[in-house]
Parts: sequence; structure tokens; C-alpha cells
Amino acid sequence: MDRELLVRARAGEREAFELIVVSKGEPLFRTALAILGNEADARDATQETFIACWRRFGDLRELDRFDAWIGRILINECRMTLRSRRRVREVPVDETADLADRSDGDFGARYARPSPAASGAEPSDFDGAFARLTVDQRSLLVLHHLHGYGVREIGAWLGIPTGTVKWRLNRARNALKRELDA
Amino acid sequence: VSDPFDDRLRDELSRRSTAADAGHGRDWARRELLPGVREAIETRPQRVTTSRAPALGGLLAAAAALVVLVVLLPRLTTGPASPTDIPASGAPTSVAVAPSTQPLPSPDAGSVTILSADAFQAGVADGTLLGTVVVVDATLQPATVVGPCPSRFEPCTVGTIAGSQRELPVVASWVRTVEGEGAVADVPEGQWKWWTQPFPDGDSPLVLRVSPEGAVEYLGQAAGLENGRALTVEQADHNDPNDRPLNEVYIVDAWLNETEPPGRQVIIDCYGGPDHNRLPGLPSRFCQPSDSLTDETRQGRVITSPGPAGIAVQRNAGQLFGRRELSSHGLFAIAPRLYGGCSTPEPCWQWDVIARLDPAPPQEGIARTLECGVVTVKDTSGRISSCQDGGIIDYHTVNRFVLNPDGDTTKLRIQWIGDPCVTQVEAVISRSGAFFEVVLVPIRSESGLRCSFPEARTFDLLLSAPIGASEVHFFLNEPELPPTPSPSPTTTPTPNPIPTPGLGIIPCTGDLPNVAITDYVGEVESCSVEASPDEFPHAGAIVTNPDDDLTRLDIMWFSSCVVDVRLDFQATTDGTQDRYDLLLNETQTRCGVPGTARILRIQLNRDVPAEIVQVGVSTPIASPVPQEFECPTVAQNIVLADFTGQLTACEAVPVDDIRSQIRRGISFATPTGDERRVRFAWTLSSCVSASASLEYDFGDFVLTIDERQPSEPCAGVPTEAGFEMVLDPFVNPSAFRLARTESTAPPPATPRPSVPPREIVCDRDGELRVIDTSGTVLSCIPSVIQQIDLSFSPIFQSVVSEAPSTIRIGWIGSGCETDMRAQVDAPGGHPVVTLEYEEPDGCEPVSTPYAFDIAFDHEVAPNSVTLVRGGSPASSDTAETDQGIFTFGLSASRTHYDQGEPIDVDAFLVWRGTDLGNVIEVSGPFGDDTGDLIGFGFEQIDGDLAVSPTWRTSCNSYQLLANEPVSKPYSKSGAVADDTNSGFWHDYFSDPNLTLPAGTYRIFAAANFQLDGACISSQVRLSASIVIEVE
Repeated sequence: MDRELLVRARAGEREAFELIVVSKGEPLFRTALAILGNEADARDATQETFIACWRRFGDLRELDRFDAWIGRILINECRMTLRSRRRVREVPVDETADLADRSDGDFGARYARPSPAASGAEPSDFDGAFARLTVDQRSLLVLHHLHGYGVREIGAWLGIPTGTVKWRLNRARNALKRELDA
Repeated sequence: VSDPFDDRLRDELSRRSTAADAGHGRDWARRELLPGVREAIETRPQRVTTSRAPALGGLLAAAAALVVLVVLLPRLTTGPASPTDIPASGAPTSVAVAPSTQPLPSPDAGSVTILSADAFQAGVADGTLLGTVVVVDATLQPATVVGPCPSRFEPCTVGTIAGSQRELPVVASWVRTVEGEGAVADVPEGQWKWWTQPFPDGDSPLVLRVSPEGAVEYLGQAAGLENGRALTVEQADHNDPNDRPLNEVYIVDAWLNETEPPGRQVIIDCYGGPDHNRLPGLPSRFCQPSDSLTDETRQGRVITSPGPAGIAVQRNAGQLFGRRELSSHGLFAIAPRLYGGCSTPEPCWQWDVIARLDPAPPQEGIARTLECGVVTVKDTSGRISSCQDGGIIDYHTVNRFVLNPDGDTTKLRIQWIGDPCVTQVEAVISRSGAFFEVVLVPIRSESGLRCSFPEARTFDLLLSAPIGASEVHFFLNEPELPPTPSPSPTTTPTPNPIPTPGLGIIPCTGDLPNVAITDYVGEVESCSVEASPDEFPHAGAIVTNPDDDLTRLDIMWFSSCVVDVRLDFQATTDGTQDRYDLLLNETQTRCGVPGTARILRIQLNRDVPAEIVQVGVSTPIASPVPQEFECPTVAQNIVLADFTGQLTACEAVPVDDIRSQIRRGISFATPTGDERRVRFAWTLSSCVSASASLEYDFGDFVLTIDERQPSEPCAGVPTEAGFEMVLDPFVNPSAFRLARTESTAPPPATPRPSVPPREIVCDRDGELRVIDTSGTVLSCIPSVIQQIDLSFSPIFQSVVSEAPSTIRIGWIGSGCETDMRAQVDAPGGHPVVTLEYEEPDGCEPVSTPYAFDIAFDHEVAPNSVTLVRGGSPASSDTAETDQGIFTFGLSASRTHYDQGEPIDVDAFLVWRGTDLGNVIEVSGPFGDDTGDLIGFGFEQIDGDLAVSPTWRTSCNSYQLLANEPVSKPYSKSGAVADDTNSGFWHDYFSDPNLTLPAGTYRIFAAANFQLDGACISSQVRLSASIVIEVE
């Protein structure tokens, strides 16, 4: 990332910030999509990431760490997206499922999150297993196995020691294996 | 080695990351993302105003005045009053006896942020609107399904808000209404039966409350908003609540005045008359004090009537919405609510404050800075009213970083552990989604070193609205340590460069010229070194407080020919136990005299009990250029390369003297009692030529015997070998470690004709079957192997000296092995033993040694047997095993590396304790930090490079936290004597990274410790290995 661009964006120059949005938007979206497995959620998380980035740019002290910084924001937003999705779903789904059973069924359908099957894609075993991992576990696997980041880089992203990254990465792989075998 | 699972994982993740639908074009970021971000940045509500909360001092003064007031109240409000004169909202008598402070200026009518439906939905989804009340320009679609609500008094879904993202369900609470309206509740006699839910009527914006959990509640419709401005009290008072529908909500920019602050009760002495008809089941305001909304502050005064310029609201409005301020300024939502005790015919409608809208939806705002002792608080959350410095507290007591003191959610107590060199702390408090973030940035004194034990600091944040500690994420950004001074051991120590008394480099007086303490703690006043008058054992060091004076430390240790001593005095802690470390780094030279016990006397500026001081002694390498000695043995002269500079001679010893000492492959002793003499003995094949090297490793001596095989086939005969080294200066013999390597592969021997396989069962429960295709195996019996034989190598082999035709093989297994087989072949004439076994899934591994003696029909020389461990070696980038109560593993970021590329390998050790926070103490030959708990080595599978880890000889203890992994990157230790690869080893030990030439390697890690604090109980040995390839 162009350092001058970052300096200008951090100083509040909207034009520079928008250039960052355009250049970083797609890769961050791909990362979010791999983590979340849902396109709408991934778009939300990516957008929220840039909104948070704009508002918190002043907190970024080391511009060289911009990628790691915005990566952490993205992972947080993915976590928040899943959390809010659960929050939005939890009460109404139970409630409306009962209601749907009792009446016309549309009511429940309106609240339920569209399943991959409903949107045309058959959920794979892998997607099901991956969805049962925590966001942190998913993030580690995506950063390491999809983007090829080394454990030191991931450690820098997440602010944790390299050994801990390896430990968690190994745990995440084993958890995924277990889920796939289940 | 490609792991199929990793391949699949990569493919699946790649598929997921590109699974966007057709509408997601390449220019998505520009077409959709950028406009969305723009809109959100521009339209999401901004912070309304900064707080007008009075200073804490003013608030306390007001509270003090209030105490006087409330005590006086009953006497001042005496006298009957006619019911008709008494307004329903309270007593007619306005009382203002407390000293009045200067009224604050009347607030301007505040602006009300009106969110779009999409912005509202986004704010709910991302958590920024949780716990807020907002005005939304949206339409509430009635629920199409009419179903029973869960309870008459519980909020019930009334409809949904449609938006571009998803439809949000909205609930509404039940409120009382007049008889004949709404639904009739089946309630006991005496309770109000008529209830209804507010529902929108018209296009006015909705007033919605978002619970902390994300549920959306409809409160009503905002009425009377003009150009997004809230009403003044005067404007709102033009409306009679008896004429307004109950779903109409007025947003009023006002001061909310509390009549009864917490803990105080105002009693109004009035008389309602015998015929006063208060309706049962409805709240009453008759003859009750009420809180009020006014356009001007009542700060400093308590009134029981709103007066002509105010609106009376329910009695506990201030308690609910006033944020504990006597007179609180904000945006309040008021709506008509039904009361049964009025001065007018009952029932009647009165104004209730039903919500508070400010601060507007939390948002990044203008930072506010508060000074709080050494802490500078930078608040962007808008929730911090003030802060109080709590100073320094005992860090042992700190187990939480954020808490609500006494459960009071209007206060946040921040406490953290740092080092005492910190002179200033910046605390940044911000909102992050549904949570708050506290980021502490300690600023360390530039002149400080690592300072002493940690200090805990604390400060309290007084909040304008409650925040639970669980809503706060805490981050501590530790600053980098400043560089520490590196005094040259051969030069006179520089004067103390640090202005802090005692902190820096302290030269010691005495009979050694160059001794200095680098004091990282700031507690050393002075020091001296002298010869000890007392006898002292040659190993380790003794620390005492002479004359029980805790400000003095005497350290005795044994050394000789010391040129200088550099000492590091440091403070360390594991959070519960404090400890001082004193590290003695000696430099020695030849002097031709035995060792001397010395005593180091340290004067401190504070009490330091000797029992919490741990001393380590290390002697650096004195001679990096080896000097060669010829060591005569019975079989051959062995060239010994001395890297220590302390070897003065290498002498022969009689065979009979060493024969009795040979029990295993190699042994050592100091037979003459002269501790400068160390003797070695082992069994040597007559075929091989041996060389040796002597090196330092962390203060230990490592003697490595390297045995090279002949180039021609050779039927070896075991012979005893041994020599005696004379060392000067004195060397503690317990500091010796031994290693044995084989630098060349055995030569091909005369092939034997192949024979049909023959199975020989080793009768230790039939654990091992020997499959002999060489025709040379006579028998196999289980044996016993010493742990020391296995050392830290995963496999061991040795000729049994009493029976030269017998090979003993051993290894540490998991205890899960089944179907163990030893295939004995002789493709080139020499036996090749291949071990294989199965390990069923689900078995709980326990570190288990195995040993078997295989007898051949001919004498076999050491190392003429090639031993290959089969089974299921770890070939992925991670190996992890559960061994007893421990999990031990090793991981690399991948399995393939390029030449010259650093190989990043980490090992981790976890004690699988039963409860988090439990601690287990272990001990072993590791050093002072966690890292030395784990040692590393490697062996080249397709070559001859190999090194094993080495440990210190002293006993140290370390605490493991349950389920907290201790990890350590690959570190180098060990000794090798490999003439053919000396260049590699030189590079290996001088390179901080692990880089290896092309080949296939088994990298292994080992942890070796005892389950006590004093190296007493039986040892736990853990090991793990992975295979990597360098191309």
C-alpha cells in the first residue's frame, strides 16, 4: 500500500481513503467470504471494515502495519456479523417457526436466513464443518491456508506470539478434521 | 511432502473465497462497496453534544447540600392543603432551601438525528446501536400473523421494519389504557385489566429502543419534530396528555430534575379527603412528589413541583434517566400514561419519561482528554465523566483488568500490571461495535532498564451511563524495552550511566580486577569479591543473607583462573512468585592451580531474602580455535579437538581400569580424585577410526566421540577404549555431557545369500517379532534400557559389551504400539534392523521405553547395524501427541523449504490440567526461563548431519499453567564432532536462524523434567518430531 496514500487518508483526506477502499475492497471481501461463507454477510463485513477504518484511522500509529491493522478489523467485523446474525435470528426464528407451523409459513420464511441451498448452492460437507468452527479458527485457516501467510505474519495480525499461532492453527485444523469426520 | 488434508483445505477455501454470485463483478469495490461506505460515513449519526455534566466537585457539593435539605423537608412542608388546590403532580409547596448554585444556561432545543431504515438496520447488525433509543424514518409493517403473545405483560411482536438488507422484527410493550379499550387481561382482582400496545398511526418517524441484546422495541411515533429539532419544555407543555394518543412521543430537550436522589425520600404532608377516589390497579401521582422537566437547570435545588415552566413526570424518572445527576440535561422522550390518582377525575393521562435519546447513537466523536495522575485518558466513547487515579496496588492481587467496583456499573475500574519504569500511561477509551475498548499505552522512562518487579496501577472511570465490565475489551500495548548496556568484561566498568540510584553497572571491589554487576533492578548499592574462607562444594552456588541482614547477599561459588566476572542482577516473576536472578558469567584462563571458592558480597537498598535469589554460573567459550591432542587408547590413538582452551593433556589408561567401567556405550569418571582429571571409557569397534572434540555449551563440557566407518568391509571386534583428560583450570566433572556420532555410513559388507524369513518372538508378552531374512539372528530377548541411553535421541543402539555379538536396541515409544516388528536384513552384509509398528487411533499415549537384545551369530561392531524406525513417523508440518497429562508437539509452517530459507519450527508443551488457573511445578535441567524447558535437534534422514539438544546440569524449577501452552521456537544447543561438516556446524551455531542444506530431515523436540520442584521424582520425557524437506 502506498504510504503517501495512507498518510493522506489518516489525515482525513476522503479521496485518498476512497482509493484505499477500491484497492483493498476486493481482497478483503474474498477473505470475509472465505470466513463467513455468505456473500451478503461478507459484503456487510467488508463495508463495516472500511467504515471502522475511516473512523479509527487516527488510532493507527504505524502505517507499515496497515494491512495487519485492517485485517484485524475485518476479522472483528466478521465476528460481529456472525454474532449479530445469531442475535437477529435467535429469537424470531424459534418464535416464527412455531408461528409458521401454525399458520401460513411465510412469516417464518421471512425471518430465516437464506440457506445456501435456498440461494441455489448446495452446502458441501466442508462448508458445514467449517461453519461449526469459531471465527478465530476460520480466520487462522483462511489466512494461513488460503492466503499463505506465515505464522509470524499472522501473529503480527492478531497480536499473539508465533508459537500461539501455531498452536491455534493446529487446533483449528484438528477441529476441522473432527467436524469433517463427524 | 504434501498433506492431502492441507491440499483439500486450500482448495475448499479457494472455492469459498470465489463463490460470489454473478452479480459480483470485478469492479464491485468501486460500484457497490465505495458508495455504501460513503453513504454510511455521511449518513450515520454523529455525536450530538459534549456532556454538560457538572464537575464532580460541584456534584458532591450539591449532594452535600441535599442532605441538609432533606432533613429539613418534613418541617417545612407542614400544614393541610385543600385537595382541590393540590395538583396531581405533587404538592403545591415549592421548597428551595439549599444554597443555590448559579443556574446553567438554558439549553437550546437540541437536534434529533433521524436515521434511515437501512442505517438503522446496519447499526443494529453491527452493534453500534445496541442499548440506545433512536428516531427512525421507517414504516412499521404490521405482523401478518396474529398469534398469541407469550404473556400479557411481555413485549410482543407487532410488525417488522422493511429495509434493503433484511426485515427486522419489532416488539411493543403493553401499556395501560382506559376501560373498554384494548384487550382485557385475566388478572386478579385489584389489578388493572385494560391493556393495549402502541402502534403507529401516520407517517411520523418511529421512536425505537434497541436492547443490549439487539431486540427492537417500538415506543411510539415522534410528534412535533420540526426540522429535526427537539421541543423545548415550553413547547411540549402546550400539549395536554389527556388529549394525545398514547403512541405519540414528544422528544424534549430539557433538564430532568430529580426530586428524590438515591437514598432520600421526600414526604409531602397533604390530605386527599375521605372521598378521594383513587382507582385500584393504576399508579397514582396524587399527593406524590414528582420529578420534572424544565428548560432551565434546577442544579443545586430540590423542588417538589415543576412550577409553571415545567412538566411533571413520574416520580422515578430521574432515577431511571437522570444518570445520577440531580439535574441532568438531555433529550427525553415523553408520552401519555394512565394514572389512577389525579386531582382531576380519575383515571387521567400524565406525562411519563419513557426514554432518553442522548447521547445519540454512539459514534466516533471528538476525543476528550482527562488527566488522571500518571494516566491520560482519551475518551472517544462519550461515556466518561471523570476519572480518579487509584495509584499503585499490589500486583499479586490483580487478576482482572476491568471491573465494576462493588458491582457499580456507573464506574469502571481499570487495573493492569506493568513495570515500574513506566512514567506515563495513555488510556484510550472508545466504542467498538457492541463493546467498548480500553487501550493502555504505557510510556517507559528512556533512562530506565528493565527495573524491578512489576507494579500494578489502577484508576477509576466515572461513567455518564452504565457500562458492564464484561462489555469492555482491554488491551495493553507494552512498549519495547530500551537497549541494555553491554559492559565489556575486559575493561573497567563505566560509571553508572543511569541517574536512578543503584540502577546501572556497579563495579565490585576485591581481589578480582574486573567484576561488575549490571543491575536491572535498581537495588544494588555496592559489591565486592573475595576468596571464601569456608570449604565449599564444587558444584552450584550458595546464597545467604549474612547475619540475617536482608539487605546483604553473600554468594559463594567455586571457580578458578577467573579473569573477570560479569553479573546480571534481574527481577523476574511468574505472577505469583517473585524471584531474583543473579547470573555469573565468568571468563577463565589457564593458571595451573586448582579452583578456589569465592564469595561475592552485595549490599542492597532493600530487603531481598536469599531464598528468592537464584544463581546461575556460566563460563563462556574461551578458545574458539581448537587445539588438537592425541589421546592414546588400546585400539588406536584418537585425535581430540579442544575448543575449551582448558585441556592440557590427554593420557592413556590401563584396559583393566576401564573395563569395569564400561556398562553401556560410554561412561566417564574421575578415578583419581583429582578433579582436574576426567576419564572416559567405551566400547569401540576395531574397524572404525574415532575422533573426539571437547566443547563448552552453556557452562557444560561436551565430549563428543565421532566414529567413522572404514571404506572397506570389515568384521569388527569390540574393543575397550578410554583415555583421561587433564583440564586446567578446574572443571566440575558433573558438568560433563557425552555424545556419540557416526560421521560416515557403514561400508558394504560381503553379501550373504538370502534365506527364507524366519520369525523369532521376543517373549516379553510377545511384543516384538523379529523377522530375520539375514540368517544371522540367533535370539531376541527383552531387555532393560537406561533413560540416559536414550538421551534425547528418539532411538538408541549399542553393542552389549559382555556379549559382543549382541546388539541392544531401544527407543521411547507411546505405549500404544501394537504389532511391533523388527525386520533384520543384511543387503550389504551388515545387519539392517527396521522397526515397524502400528498405533491405533484413540490410544492415550504414555511415554514408554522399549529395549530388546538381538543376538547374532557373529560379532558385530557398534554402528555396523543400521537401525530404521518405521511405523508412522510424522511427516506433516505438525506433530502433536498427548503423553500422559501433557500434550507435546512440534510444528513448522510448512514441510518444504528452500535452501538458505529459515525453517520456522516451534514446539509447544501443554499441561492438560483440570481447571484453568491451576499450576503445576516441574523441575529439571533447564534454565531460568520457559524456553529452556524444551530442547531441539535434528537428524538428516538422507545424510549424516545430526545434533541433539543439550541441557544444563543444574536443577531448576518452573511452573506450568493448566492448559496454557508454553511454546518455544527452534533453538540451538548441542555438541557435534564432525570433521567433514565442520564448516556447516560453524555456520549452524553462528546463524540465529535454522537453515539446512538440501535434504530430508527429522526435526525433533524434547522436554525432560520431573513433576516436582526439586528434581526428585521420576522423569517425564516428551518428544515429538516432524519431517521436513529442504530443496
